[in-house]
Amino acid sequence: MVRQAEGEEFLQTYLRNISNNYKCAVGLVLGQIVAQKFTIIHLARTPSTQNEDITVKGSNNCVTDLDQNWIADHAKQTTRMLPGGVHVLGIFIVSDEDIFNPFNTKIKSILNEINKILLLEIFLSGSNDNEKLVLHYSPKYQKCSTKSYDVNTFSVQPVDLKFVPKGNKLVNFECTYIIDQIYYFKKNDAAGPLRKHIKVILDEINRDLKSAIVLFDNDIKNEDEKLENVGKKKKASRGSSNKIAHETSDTNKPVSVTILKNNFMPYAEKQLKLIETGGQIKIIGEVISRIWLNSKSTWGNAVQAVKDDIMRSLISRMEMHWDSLTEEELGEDVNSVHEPPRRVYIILPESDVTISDYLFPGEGAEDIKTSLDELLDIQLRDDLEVLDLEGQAGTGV
Amino acid sequence: MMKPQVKVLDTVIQRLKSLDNPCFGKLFGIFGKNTHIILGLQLNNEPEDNDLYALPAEIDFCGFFEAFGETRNTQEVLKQCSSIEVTDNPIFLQVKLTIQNDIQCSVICNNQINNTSYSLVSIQEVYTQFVHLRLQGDLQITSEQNKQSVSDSFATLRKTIASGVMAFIFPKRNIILVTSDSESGIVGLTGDASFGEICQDANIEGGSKKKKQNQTLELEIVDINLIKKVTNDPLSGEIKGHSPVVVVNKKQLDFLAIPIRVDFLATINKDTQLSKIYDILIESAIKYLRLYENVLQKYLERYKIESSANIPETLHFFPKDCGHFLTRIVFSNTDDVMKKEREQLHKLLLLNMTTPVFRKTLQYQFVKAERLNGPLRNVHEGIKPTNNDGKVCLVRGDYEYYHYCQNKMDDNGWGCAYRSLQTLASWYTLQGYVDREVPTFKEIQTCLVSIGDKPNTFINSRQWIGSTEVNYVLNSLLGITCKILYVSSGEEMSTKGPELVNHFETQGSPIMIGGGVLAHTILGVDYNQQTGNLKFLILDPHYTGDENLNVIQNKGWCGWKSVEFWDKTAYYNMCLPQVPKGI
Repeated sequence: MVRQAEGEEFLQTYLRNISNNYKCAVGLVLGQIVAQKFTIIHLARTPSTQNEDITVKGSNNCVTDLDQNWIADHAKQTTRMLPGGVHVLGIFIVSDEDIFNPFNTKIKSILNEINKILLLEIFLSGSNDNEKLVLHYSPKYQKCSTKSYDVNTFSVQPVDLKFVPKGNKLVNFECTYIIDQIYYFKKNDAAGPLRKHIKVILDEINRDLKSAIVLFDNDIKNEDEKLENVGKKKKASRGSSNKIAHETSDTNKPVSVTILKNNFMPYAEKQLKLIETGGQIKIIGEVISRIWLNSKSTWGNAVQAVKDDIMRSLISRMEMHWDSLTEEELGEDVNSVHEPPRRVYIILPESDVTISDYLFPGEGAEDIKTSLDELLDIQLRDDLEVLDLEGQAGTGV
Repeated sequence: MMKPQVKVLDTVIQRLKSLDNPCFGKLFGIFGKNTHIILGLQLNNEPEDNDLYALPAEIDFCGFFEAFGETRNTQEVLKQCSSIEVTDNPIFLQVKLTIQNDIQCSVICNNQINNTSYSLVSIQEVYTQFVHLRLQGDLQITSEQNKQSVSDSFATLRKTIASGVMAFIFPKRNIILVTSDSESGIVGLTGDASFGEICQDANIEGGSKKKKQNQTLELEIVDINLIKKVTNDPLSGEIKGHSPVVVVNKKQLDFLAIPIRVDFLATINKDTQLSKIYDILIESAIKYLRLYENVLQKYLERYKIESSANIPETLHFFPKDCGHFLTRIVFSNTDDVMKKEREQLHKLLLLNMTTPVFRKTLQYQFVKAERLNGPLRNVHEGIKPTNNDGKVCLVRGDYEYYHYCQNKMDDNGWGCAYRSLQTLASWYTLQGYVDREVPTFKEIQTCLVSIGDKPNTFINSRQWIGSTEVNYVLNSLLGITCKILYVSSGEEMSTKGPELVNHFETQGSPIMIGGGVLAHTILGVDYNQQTGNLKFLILDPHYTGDENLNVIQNKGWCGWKSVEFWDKTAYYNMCLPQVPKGI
């Protein structure tokens, strides 16, 4: 069977509008894979490179002019804003060139580059798929066509694209993950870059998450079952308790997620050890995780998406934090408290979908507007609805 | 208010009946709504003994016993009642030391001792109503290597455990207990079922439980794993936290990393509702941590850890003479120290000083330890009884059935005494008297050469051995002495009733018999004093087939034989292995 791709009609309008301004444009296809189907949620044109003269629109004249590193960086930065379960599915190209006959080698390199940069940081990419989607819009024929390209096997496959007026219902999930992790420097290893030590902590968190048990609305779910019945099923068994009936009447209420860490650790030490340390690093705080999944997804997908989201959010804010520090600050050999940017959520206009951004202390809504414009190609004139759920740490920590 | 019924486990009464000196001690039991069951006792101990063992959660300190001759010291009992937490009405068993020790049961109420009646229960009865939960999970704490810091770290951990972040999963049943709330605390099951109900469900799914005809006690043990909530419930209105921060502290510090493998039991009534079990499991974890801390503190008083030390082992015992589980946490130590601790335990629990029960090899086997394709155990169990109407005395405890052609070795025709010897040795290993494996043929032969009984050529030969050699080998390899009984003919075996009865009653070990002809193992006798008839429970090492219990029992490889079984024209030597003194 030919692989399917699906998106809502507004995406087609978006592509059409781009073609009014650019001769050749490239951007990211963002979405979920739902039961093998590419489900496109958003298209984000890659901003012009600094080298480009932005006053001259469409300075990219043809596909071969595109800068693959720039696009890959766009993919990386954008991924940081996406909730778990949403990925860069591939790219779109707006151009009158025929890129599929034969399959354009430049496109292959762009996809390879994106894949490479995302795999560098596995916590960022999450459950990555090697099969990338390429969506081509030809302004001349006003036509969309799609193919997929597997970056591992180099195989090109046809994909059936359909635009629908309204996609499947989305199901929201909510979770507040508590982190209280400690790491001890080995006696003579306290000086090295913090980034390296933090990575060890993140690996531990990831290991714990992998074997964790996930409950949804305080219930064990069958991983193979689809999300479709959220909010419906319980109603059938109404009658026993008024409280439960009341709770389920609100079908838009997010599903609450509970994570239980497995305390069976086969890797646990068999010895009491005297450890000489050069100090310690503690990560304490909460990660607020809000994800949404297409209702055709399974509970198993939801489990994976929640875990991916927590790791993606952690690595994103840590990386952004280290990037913001100078060499000197990184190498400091003193006690210090680092406050990586906190995660805030933005509700996308005319959609239930929330995406996240990270704010350093002192940053606010304007900074988010800039990221939205640059990375997701969303221009907002009105005030932005920002959900600032993670508290800022007090100075007393 | 209905007066609660007091039941006392028969093993408790048996031990109190055997007292012959005035003493004072504690009673432990399970306090139900209408029934109080006394399951255990312990001599009043010194505080430094509190690292020796712990009872399962829910078996609580609930009263006292006092054995007295002429004068009683009831004031002391009343004074100590305030230390009992589980009830305002502790049980008091008064043992008047006479020839058979009269036992009077009382309930203490408002500083008054009110006599009450009690009934006896057997272990079997108790454990049709009670099941065991076995909680396991890994925890880790760090501490500086000093008493205060260790104590603080454990206190903090216990506080965390009790703070509501822990949860429990029944892995085989997919039920999770997240809080003690009967509505939202139970995940994976609707309603607040009793524990007995969910056990039944599981049994139906997991195939019918094998019904054993014999009287061996089957304890129901349900595995539970410790898990931990790492998310906040958005509805609970818990204090709002903050986004993750990284705190770097470069202070150099030496500390002890202490891994804790929680492994503890709780004894619960099958009527207990699931929602009540959350708190019981928290209590189990806390009890384990208290015992661990006590054991560790004592260890650190004696040794300083320079780099590392093996974590202590957790051992669960179910001594039949106690009738309940008890759990020990032990660091490896010298044999002397270990022996001293075992002796102390026997004293505290009023157990006899001759039968070991707390050796490591005797720990409770949660997974039946029969080796795949290994020798069968206790093949006489379930065998057709005799019609001799006499006194039946059998081997006490487990043994393995060794016979011809096992482990692909063809010893048909010459190895029967070796095999009988192996059966005897297995009994000592399984009872915990010796710590070595059952000797192999080669080890047996080498042993006989090294003590000068046989020439070098004996090793790897196919020469048979007799009861004398069995005696030598048991003595040199296992340190066991044997009594030798001699009869000049098979007929004379009929006169050995009293001696064999005495052996099985006082020693309980299997007997090897050999001599002019074949070697056999005697597992028991049925001796009718009126008629003088004697029957022998024989285990025959000449069996060459597979480990098939049906064949072994139905074809008479293990079974009751009369005196005619013995050859009238042959003489016999019996090797009666003695039980070593000490535990």
